[in-house]
Amino acid sequence: MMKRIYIFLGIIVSTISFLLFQACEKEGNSEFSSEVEYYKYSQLKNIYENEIVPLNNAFVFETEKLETLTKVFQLETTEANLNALREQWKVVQMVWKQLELYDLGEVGNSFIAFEINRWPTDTERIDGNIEGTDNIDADFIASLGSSSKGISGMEYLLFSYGLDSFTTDPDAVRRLDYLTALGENLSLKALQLQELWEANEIAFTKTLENGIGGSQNQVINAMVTLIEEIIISKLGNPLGDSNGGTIAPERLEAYRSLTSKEIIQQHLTALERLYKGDFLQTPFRVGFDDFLVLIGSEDFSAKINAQFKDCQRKLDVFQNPLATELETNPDAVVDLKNSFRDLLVLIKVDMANVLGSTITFNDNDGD
Amino acid sequence: MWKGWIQDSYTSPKFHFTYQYFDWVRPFDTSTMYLIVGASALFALFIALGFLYRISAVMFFLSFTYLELIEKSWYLNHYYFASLVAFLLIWLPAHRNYSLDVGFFKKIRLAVVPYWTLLILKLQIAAVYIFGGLAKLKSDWLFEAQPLRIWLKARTDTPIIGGLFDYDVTAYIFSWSGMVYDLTIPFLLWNARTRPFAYILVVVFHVLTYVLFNIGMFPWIMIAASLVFITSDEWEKLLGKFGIRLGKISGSAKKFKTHHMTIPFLGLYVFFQFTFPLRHLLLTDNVLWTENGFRFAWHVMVMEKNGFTEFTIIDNETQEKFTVYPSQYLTVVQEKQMSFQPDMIWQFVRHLDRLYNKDGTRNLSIFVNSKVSLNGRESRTYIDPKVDLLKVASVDNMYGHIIDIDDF
Repeated sequence: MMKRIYIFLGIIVSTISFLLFQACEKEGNSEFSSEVEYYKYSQLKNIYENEIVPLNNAFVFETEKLETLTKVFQLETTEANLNALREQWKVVQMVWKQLELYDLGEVGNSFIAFEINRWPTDTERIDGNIEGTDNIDADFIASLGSSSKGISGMEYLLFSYGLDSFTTDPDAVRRLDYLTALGENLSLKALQLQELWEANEIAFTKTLENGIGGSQNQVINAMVTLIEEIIISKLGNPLGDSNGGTIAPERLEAYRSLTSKEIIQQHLTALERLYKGDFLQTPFRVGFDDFLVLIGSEDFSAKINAQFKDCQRKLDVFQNPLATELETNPDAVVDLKNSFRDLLVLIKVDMANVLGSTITFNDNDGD
Repeated sequence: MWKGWIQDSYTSPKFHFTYQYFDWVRPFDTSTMYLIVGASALFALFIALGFLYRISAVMFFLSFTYLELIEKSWYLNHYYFASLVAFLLIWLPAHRNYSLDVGFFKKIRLAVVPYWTLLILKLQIAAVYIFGGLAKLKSDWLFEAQPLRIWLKARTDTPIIGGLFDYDVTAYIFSWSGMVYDLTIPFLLWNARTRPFAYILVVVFHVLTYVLFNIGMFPWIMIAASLVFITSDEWEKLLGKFGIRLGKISGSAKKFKTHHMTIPFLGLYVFFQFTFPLRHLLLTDNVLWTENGFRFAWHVMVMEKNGFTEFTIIDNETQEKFTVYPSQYLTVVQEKQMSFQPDMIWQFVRHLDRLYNKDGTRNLSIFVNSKVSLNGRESRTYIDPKVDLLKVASVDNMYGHIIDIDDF
């Protein structure tokens, strides 16, 4: 009897030791223990190679172009060059609003997204910097807080005033210097962001674990964070959610350039592409929709697809800039916000529930 | 401490979800909280060493329970279990042999202890398993293999056996064997003939849960605690195999004197432990959905639940309307836990009232739009969105405004 117990005990202890050893060694393990794991890896690889890398490349390219145009504008301060600069700023903004979704992992921890675009921008501080006596150069801009530079800071300078603010205004020269230095700084940050992602490629594509550090969970959390930001800050605050119901168009993101609607469009496009894994260059399109089908939630996958379409329909209603629509058609903006809220529920509640995603840690006790 | 949990849990949040009847429990400043957590760990070590045992047991129980009572969103069954065991240790002569105290105070050495001192610990462990098993006698667990179907599919990265989690049948096997394990293991541990197998099962089961699920210290606590079922004779034999002899204790004639109030008191304690976890049967038809009577009842690992809440505040005089999202006021953990627990939603509504009605002169109404998903079901409205939650006078009345789940 005792001998059998010892043999049984030996087998059990060996198995457990092996499992534990394997569990500790799982970092860097390139084997896929299951079809789900293979899908997860393929999805993350798809996101990195076919979305993050191309977006980073585009962002570097467009910010360099923006930097060049600021320098051209500094040399030839004309209406045509200002317009060209404004158009290029919009292009940069549109690329960033897709890339902004991927503010996660080590990239998120670096807070580089703040350096690139923090809003609302601190206009008083920017004016103070321009009116001051500090030498405006790359080092000066690097030393500033994120709310007085980046994409939002440039928007303030480019869209608040006309050409005379760069020509005849008493601070015109320093304003031009400031604008040029912001362009330079933004271009540098785009390169740093690209480098950060390149350094984190392996960590992103190979962290398949289900804990809070797992890349798939981080991507879901990033989707949740962005949708919440759209609901709370980009639509809710302008609708008066936080001030008792008074419409406040000046609380829209990028209201000076009248690109608030386009920003939300870019977010929606990026979110939907991420959900479907449907990136332009992708031959193997693994997204959350496929993942949900794989684990037997076809109907639910279709429901999220339908909700993305609903958000798009609600956004397509608007023919005018969002600032105008807020004043003339606030109910439609509320509809749009509610549609995003329904999308949030599907992703934050339903999808997380079906996938067993860990949004917080240490909560698996079921209590 | 080094992960910053003390700030995250106690001092950073501006608002805490306190326990009913314990609203007066509040955190101190950060450095004091570090001191308390550090002291609590030190007292636990002293208990283990049997050093200044009695005072250490009292201090550990007080400090640990205090830490636990500060924030409801951090509730875990094994924290509760640790508090209960700490409370029992206060009354047990666990330091009367093989302890540092015996070195200092030789007269306290005991050769034998009364049976009740072991029985109470065994009953406490049995309660965890039995109620943990009863909590699994639900259709979700048995017939849908939920939430294990979700969790195992999310753990296919587990080496060797991960591939098996692709199949639903694995979740059913785990669900049923988990239920049978919980309901039988106390009896198997109690029986001398089955004890060796039972303890091996304890180790296997809990190591597996450690590998598969993020449940902190719980597996190790249960593996260690279950050792209490092994008798002194068995310890002698077991240690003898390794050449270790415990030896006879001098002064073996000395016996522990049980206070005449001890047995009635412990009887009451056991009665409470074996009835309180069942209170949900009187309070609700579906404890997983309503969570009425869910805590302190060993509902361990029986649900995957997620929620969303959005609050609307209306000033009935000015008709001003505010929309509030909890992430603006709560930590991620607080927000997540509140989103599907009615008593916490009720508490948060009171907090919003204090924030938006600082001088107490406004006539506000607060409504919640809440969606909850349970064990893979589609999300649905949780609390009646038409109810002004400021008019719900008592937290207990909150459960009356939950919209029933029909497919359970």
